[in-house]
Order: sequence, then C-alpha cells, then structure tokens
Amino acid sequence: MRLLFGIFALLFFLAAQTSQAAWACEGQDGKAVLDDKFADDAGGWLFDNRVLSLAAPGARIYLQAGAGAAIILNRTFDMNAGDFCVETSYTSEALKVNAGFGVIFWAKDLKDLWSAAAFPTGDVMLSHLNEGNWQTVWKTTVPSLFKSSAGATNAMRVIAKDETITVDLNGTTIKSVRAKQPPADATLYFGVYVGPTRKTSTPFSVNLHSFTAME
Amino acid sequence: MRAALTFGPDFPGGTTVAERGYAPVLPRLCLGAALCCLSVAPASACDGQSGPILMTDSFWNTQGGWSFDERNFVLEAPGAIIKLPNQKGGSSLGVLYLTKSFDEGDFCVTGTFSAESLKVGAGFGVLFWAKDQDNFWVAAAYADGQVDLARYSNKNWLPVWVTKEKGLANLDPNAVNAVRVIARRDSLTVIFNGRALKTIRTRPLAAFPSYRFGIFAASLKPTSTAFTINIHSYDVTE
Repeated sequence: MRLLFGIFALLFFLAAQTSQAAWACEGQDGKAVLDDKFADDAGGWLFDNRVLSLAAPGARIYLQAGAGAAIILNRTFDMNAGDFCVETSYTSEALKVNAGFGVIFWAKDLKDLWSAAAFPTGDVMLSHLNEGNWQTVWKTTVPSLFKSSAGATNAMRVIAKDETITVDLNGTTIKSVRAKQPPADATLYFGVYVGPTRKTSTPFSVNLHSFTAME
Repeated sequence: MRAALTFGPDFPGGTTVAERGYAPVLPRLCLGAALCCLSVAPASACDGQSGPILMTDSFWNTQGGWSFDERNFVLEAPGAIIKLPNQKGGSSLGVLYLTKSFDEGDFCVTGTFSAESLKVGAGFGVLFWAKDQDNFWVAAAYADGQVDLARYSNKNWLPVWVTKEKGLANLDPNAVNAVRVIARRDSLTVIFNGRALKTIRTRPLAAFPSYRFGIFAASLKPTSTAFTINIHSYDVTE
C-alpha cells in the first residue's frame, strides 16, 4: 500500500513538473510561426559554441568573463507584430551574477532593438536599444515571481502587437505600454537576451529550453 | 566581414530577352564522346536538380536575361566573368537576373576558383529572395572551404549558418564548383558540389513576393588589384 502510494506520489510529482514546463508560456494562442525546443540546430539560430551551443533538447547560452550581454537573434524567422516567449533555467553561477534573461523583439539590427528582461533579484524591465544606446522604458520589482533556484524554469513573454507591448513573467502580466508599431513591411528580428547586471570575472551559462513566436 | 554589396547592374530592371540560350543543347549532343564529356562536366556539376527547368544559362551569348556590364559582369562565352574591384576590406558583388523572378526553386551556379582565389578569400554563390538592394539572401562557397548562408538585412550582414572544411572546394583551375540552394516555402537547403550541407527552417514565405535571384561573388581579403571569378552556368528548376 505504502509502495503504491509512493508510486502515485511520484507520478503526480512528475506530471506536475511536466505540466509546469509545458505551461510556462501559457496563454499564447495565435498561429505558431516558430516553436523551437532546440531538438536540432535547424531553427534559424546561429550556433557557434562560444555564445550558443545546442544541447538537445535545449541549448546553452554562454557569457565569457567580463562580457556585457548576449543578444541572440533568430535569423530566419523575422517577424514584426507577435507574441514571443522564451523559457530558460539557470545554473548557480548565473544566479550568483544576477543574470537577466528575456525576449528581444522589433530588432532591426544589433544596435536597434527592444528587450524585455527579468532578473533573479525580481527586477523586470523593458528597454529600447536605440542607435546603440540603451534607454529604459520602465522598470519594476516583483521578487516573488522569478524562480531563483538553480534548474527552475522561468518564462518571459512579450506581446508586441496592436500598438501595445505587454510583458509577462511566468504567466503574470507585469505591465503593458502603448508603443508605435513598426511598419508592417519592415524586416524585424526576435531573439533571446542574457546579461548580468554586473560584469563577472568567471564565465557562466544559462539553459535555453524553448522559444515560441506566434502571430 | 564582408564589405557592403554593390549591385550591378541597376536593381531591379530588365526587359524581355530570350531566357534560354543554346547552351543546354550542346552538352546533351556531346554525350557518349569521351572528349565531349569534359565539356559536359560544368552542366553535371548541378546534378540532382530534378524539377522542370525554370531558367538555364551557360553564358553562350548575351541573351540569357542578365545585363552584362564592362565594369562588373562580362560575357566570355561559354561563361562569364565577375570582376571584383580592389578594396581595402575586400569586396562583393551581386548580379541579378533581370527577366524572371522565382520565390521558390532549386538554384544552382557553377564557377571556378582561380589560382589566386585563396589569397583573396574568393567565393561565389547564389543570391536569392532579393527584395531590394538592402534585403536579400546569399549562399556562397569560398576557396578556403568555407560555405555559408547569410542574409543582408536592413543593410547589415547577418550570418545564418557557416561551416568550413578543408578540401571542400576544388581549387583545380579546371575544376567546376557548384553552389546550389533549394529554396522552399519554409526551408532552405545548401548544397555544395553535390553534397547537401545544411537544411534550415525559415518563416513561411508570404504569398508570392516575387523575389529576385542572381549570382553573388566576393573577395573577403584586401586585394591590391581587381579580381575576377569565372562563372560557367546558372540553372533554376522547380
């Protein structure tokens, strides 16, 4: 009886874990343009082993000692208006340096883009890199939302459409702001952001589990 | 990194000219004769293209739908020469086909690496999904064995995939190298000298944007003199 109960408890635990991972980007209900769980390297990301390596299923983003941030753009699924969601989990080193992670969107190039990022300390911010200069659009602190233990999955979602940018962390909407939608015919990219708030003397990595982009 | 691409001739443009020259007929007539088989080699370098022919040109004349230009793209039948200017940071050139556009297709260009190719980092390939001068895709092979797929987007180069393998390019001045791209609605496959190197998923194309295609050539290293690349054929099949 006790053994049976143990098996049920284990199954329940596994189901809960699976469910948690599967529903981290809960709410995305459009048409999927990209749904990449990094089972292979054909999803349009540039793998080079210094910044991004495939660790199927999943990938790993590396930051070298002293690096500012990694901005990784998908190169083949450009998209203008969309609903973007990235799932990551942290190593203990990434937690130590308070590395932020998030979604890059409306990226014209590496000097002109938007970023929504969350940090282990609970900070969440929306920023605009404009001609190479970072501008903070808004910043807030929600300490209870970020799962700040090594291996826990966090999901950052950005809905950038209909003249509005909405940022959502682990299923909770943090903030919506009105914004000028880029022209429909503009070629704009999306991707992943990882960056520590302070420069580190040791390299670290962040696990990348999925990226979903929906119309 | 590549220098900015110069388009020559004007983009887009073109009027009606005969799309198909005499070239495809000649190799077929030669089949069976040992000597002629040598001249068949350039055409067969694009082995594997199986669909109906959309466009084919072995540059026997100027009627193939390209705009020849003394400065950049010169007919030297059978074949053509792309001239790259000498520039400090290397140079690149896109030559567009002017009389037809294809969004999907199996594009293949053949060419030869000259003896100086390694020194100047010479490469050539297929230019496709060209929306305008600032937005297009390129699959190219270089003399040092690098093969890559890249986007020129909003006036910036964005590498999509890169590989490098010693011996991948045939540097014999008489050998033909073939760069081929199969561009489908939602994927791209890069094939070099008959070997499929990579397939990548892409965002499905919107309804028939009428993208242009053409030839791409580059020298990645600085050269003190102008450099030429010999192009033998260009074929597009469905």
